[in-house]
Amino acid sequence: MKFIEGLCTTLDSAIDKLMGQCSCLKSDELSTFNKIRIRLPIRLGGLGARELSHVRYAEFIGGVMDGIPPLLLQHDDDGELHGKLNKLYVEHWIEENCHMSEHGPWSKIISRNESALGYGINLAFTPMCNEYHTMIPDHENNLSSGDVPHNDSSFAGFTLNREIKQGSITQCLSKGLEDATKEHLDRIYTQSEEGNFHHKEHLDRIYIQNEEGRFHHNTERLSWYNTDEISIQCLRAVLMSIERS
Amino acid sequence: MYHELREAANIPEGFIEGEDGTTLFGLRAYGVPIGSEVFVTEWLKTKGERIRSNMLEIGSLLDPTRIASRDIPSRQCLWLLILNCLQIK
Repeated sequence: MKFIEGLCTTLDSAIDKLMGQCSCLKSDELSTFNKIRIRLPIRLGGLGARELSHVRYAEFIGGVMDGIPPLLLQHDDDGELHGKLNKLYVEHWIEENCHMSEHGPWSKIISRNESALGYGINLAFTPMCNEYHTMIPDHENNLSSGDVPHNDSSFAGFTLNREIKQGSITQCLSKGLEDATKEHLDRIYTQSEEGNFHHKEHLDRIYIQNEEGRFHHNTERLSWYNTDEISIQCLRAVLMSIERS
Repeated sequence: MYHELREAANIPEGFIEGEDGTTLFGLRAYGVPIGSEVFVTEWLKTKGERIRSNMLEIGSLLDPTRIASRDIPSRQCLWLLILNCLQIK
């Protein structure tokens, strides 16, 4: 995970540069509100430009879920499904029938200090939990056993009742985080509208008032002023405002 | 462990040249670098720089300030490339 950080940062900075070239807006000049917003998917009113350094955790857990469970012995209603690895080896490496463990499928491998896989799972899942907690402080109270974004790395990629969700786990995890980010933004927006904002939300208040001269860059003010919920219109607005300026 | 497994599978050791000219030993399996920490770091750095320079070259070819013609929508092309290809490379 630590190796990938440098690679992701390099590629993210290149994408930032290209986006700046395309929209005439440098990411340094954007307000915090819009910096977060452009990273959201189009369905949530963003521009769909994800940061690799942000999705790498979900990618790692998704990769583990694609690769490891098919190797393990599993049970279904009709009986046993044999995994692709030797039973003894699996028992030594992870734990036989680990997906039935009450403490979580990865509890043994995470507790073993020499396991790079366990270390990676813990390292990838913990920041996602922390971020989720920051975005939705009370999410622990609303957790259901069928959720994939939860707070226990021993169940990383699984639901808390040890099930594997259908489809891509990467998508499931990143979608959960993006929804949480949107909720967080909405909360800031609502707080600002009620006049109950803190210092860090100062820029966001400016965004809502959208007064000329208060943005670093006038193109940003005009483009986001002309934006509605659908981000493709934001891009159109960016281009229009560049044409006018 | 790595060398034991490599030798058991009869796979010859691979290498790349580091920035300072030193030889770094390791392998690439299914696109994943395997070997010493220095090898993995250097391998990823080289790969990252290669992808980055490709991206910037695309950006310079489609620079909206360079291609002013309305018939060539370079800004839109660049944006679509960023969104659908470059960011997930």
